[in-house]
Amino acid sequence: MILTQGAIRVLRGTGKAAGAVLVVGAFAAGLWFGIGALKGDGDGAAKAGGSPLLIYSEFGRNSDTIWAASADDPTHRSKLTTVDHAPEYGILPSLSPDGERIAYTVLPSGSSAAIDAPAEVWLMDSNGRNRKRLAVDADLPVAPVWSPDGAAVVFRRSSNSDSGGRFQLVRVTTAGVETKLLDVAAGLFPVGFAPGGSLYFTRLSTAGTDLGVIRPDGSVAATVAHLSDDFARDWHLSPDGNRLAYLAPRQAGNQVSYGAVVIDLNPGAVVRQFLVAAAPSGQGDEFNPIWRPDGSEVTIGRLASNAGGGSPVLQMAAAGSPATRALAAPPRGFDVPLAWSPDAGYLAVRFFDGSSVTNPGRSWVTVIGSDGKRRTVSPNSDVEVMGWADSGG
Amino acid sequence: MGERAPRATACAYSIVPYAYEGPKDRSLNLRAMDLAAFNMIAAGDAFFGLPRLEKGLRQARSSVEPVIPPILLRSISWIESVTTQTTRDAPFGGIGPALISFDCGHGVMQVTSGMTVPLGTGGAATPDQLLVATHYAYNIARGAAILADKWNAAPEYRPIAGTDTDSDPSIVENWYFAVWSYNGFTGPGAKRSNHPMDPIYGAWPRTPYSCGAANDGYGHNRGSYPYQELVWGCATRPPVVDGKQLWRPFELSLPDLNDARWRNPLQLSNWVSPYAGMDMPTPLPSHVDSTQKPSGSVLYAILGKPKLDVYTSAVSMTLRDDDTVAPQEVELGNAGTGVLAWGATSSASWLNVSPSAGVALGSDVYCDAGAQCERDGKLTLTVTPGALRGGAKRATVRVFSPQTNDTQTITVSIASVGKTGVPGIVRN
Repeated sequence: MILTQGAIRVLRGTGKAAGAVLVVGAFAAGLWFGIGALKGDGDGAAKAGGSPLLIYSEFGRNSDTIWAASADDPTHRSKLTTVDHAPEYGILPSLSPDGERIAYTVLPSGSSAAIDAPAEVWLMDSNGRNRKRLAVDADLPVAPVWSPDGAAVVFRRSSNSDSGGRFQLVRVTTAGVETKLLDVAAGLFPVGFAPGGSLYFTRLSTAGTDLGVIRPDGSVAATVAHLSDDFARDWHLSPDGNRLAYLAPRQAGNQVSYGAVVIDLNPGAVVRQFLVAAAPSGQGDEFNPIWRPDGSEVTIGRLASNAGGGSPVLQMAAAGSPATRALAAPPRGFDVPLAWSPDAGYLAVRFFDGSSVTNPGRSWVTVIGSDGKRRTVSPNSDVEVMGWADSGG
Repeated sequence: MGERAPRATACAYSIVPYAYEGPKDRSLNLRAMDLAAFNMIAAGDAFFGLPRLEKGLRQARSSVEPVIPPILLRSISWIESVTTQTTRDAPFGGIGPALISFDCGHGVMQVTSGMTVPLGTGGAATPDQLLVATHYAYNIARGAAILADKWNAAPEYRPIAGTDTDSDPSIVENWYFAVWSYNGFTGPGAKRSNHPMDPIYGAWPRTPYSCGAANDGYGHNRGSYPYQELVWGCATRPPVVDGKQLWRPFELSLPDLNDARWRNPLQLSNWVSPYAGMDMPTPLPSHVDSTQKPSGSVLYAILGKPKLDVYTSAVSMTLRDDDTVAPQEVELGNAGTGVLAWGATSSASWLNVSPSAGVALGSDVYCDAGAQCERDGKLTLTVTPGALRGGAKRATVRVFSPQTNDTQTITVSIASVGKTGVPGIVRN
């Protein structure tokens, strides 16, 4: 996009398993004006000033579209760019810390349409210009994770389609220089970066899910915490990189559900806690624990087993206090939080109209304002929230 | 069909063969699936026929006559190939390049097993490979047989679904692990993981998958789902072609992941061969596919009675001054009905046949004039440049059909013209 003035703050999206790091970027220019120049998409351009913009990608059978939509009225949206891909398999995008670039995995148009086909990692400006292929033989389903300085991304490469091969985490600079950080015979996922620049990752095995950390040059890898004896998921680093929120399964009687957990990553201070331990018997599913921009609270979705009507998103003190605040509830179904706007005035959620995890029903990405109003972003369910942009002032 | 066949790599064919594509509404493919589901296409054939299906608990297995719920074949075919035997550049109601994926998946059911290298003599494909690559009905039959093999892989190599229902194969939900295995019984962390709890599929829970309209509120990005959820979702929310659903929506249940009876078998610690710890009850509510067994007339309508008819028995080619020979095209037809699959092999290393497999259409086969449908098959004969310096001048091309066991031979003669005299080269 053409950025000419103003300051932008960007909060990275949390739709995929990637670290949620709040980055206040002083843009040399204003996203508003670049977007304002991109009219004529049929949906109406997002307006300058006013509410922040939600940046998201929308799946299409052969091509995905990157949009910027007004939080107050997502029907006012501007098309930033499109990315062609192999039929039926969309891109997995990741917004850079400064919001100016997008890294993504893709099966290029014309390549084989299969999830285990060799994918590529590409880099482009947020308006689609200056596209550049950074790497090949990447794993499509694992989104790139940006380094805090925006100089590199980490992606995954595996040798086999099944779980019997080797898995690598590879750092590639925006100039295309690769460094293999880790190469093991276990499922790996990049999580996010520690304050000192080390990379957190998770590793699956029959013993469960472990959190590890590795130095930027790959010289030392160590296990930090055992997250679960089973599948942990939906992990998000706090804005300061010192805590991790994630989901782990728990069982009460014959009921199994996911519960939100926060651990302190400071040395010697690993504390594990179920955030909603005060809930009766720990029943009910919790979803996608994300951090408020200031790191003071964790926001989780929750579907109580005895829920009548819609189940709202809850905000909870990250210190484990049982005190909670509920956001505006959906008319039915439940919400899964995705990303807060930089000023915490808006929350993007995925609203499901079903009544259980097994039958979650249809879903749409929705923006909830501080006024409690709910606004559907797109009539299509296939929306991947990448982050927010705000005028900052 | 007029353009040069694209080259495949490291699969059963080095040159992509030609195949027939039925009408856009997939009616022929769907009817063939019903036939294959009831083991009517090639019963008793070790390659294309269905084996008896095992049932019962891990220590008490018995077997029953094989019937696969047809809805599974329909849904799998759409996920695999949008239910087409040819590439999307090929016309509906015509002949075009066979669909072959990067990993040698062939045709409607994207059959990979046994299709990665030519298995015949002399580096040629076998008759079975020929049928899988070119004939939609045999491709579907082979896909059904592979799915049945995946079912029978339990309990020795795979878990059982339906521990409370005697693992009855008539219950569609009991095919959960077999369908998972059709794409690969891949697990935690893999880029093709089909484990439903794998974090590789992003935030939890997942919007169910749909093959229907983009704005139906369900998910359509295949990269976000394990394979069996794609198949389940497509069965429930079928594809729409020209405003019409390809089949009636068929509700299917996934394992209840809030219930320990289904969730605990899927724990990471159970991902250990032969996966006995993953045995689970039938997902509820369960469903039975009530599709009726097709009649024999349907079988005849799909397979017909093809008859190979090579229009030429002798071909004369001319060796030019520069030691090259102009390619020559040979046509062959189907004097009978149905789709005739043919193969062709050369007796001489210097004489090349391209493609080495294809189809010819009987008079009863739907052939869309708008798609410039040609019923005849074509093969092109070429001579390797410079290969005739030793004086070879005669060879044969054997054309055969694995369906009918018909074989016809084309005699190829090479004659030279106008001697211009090149020292050191002798032409006989």
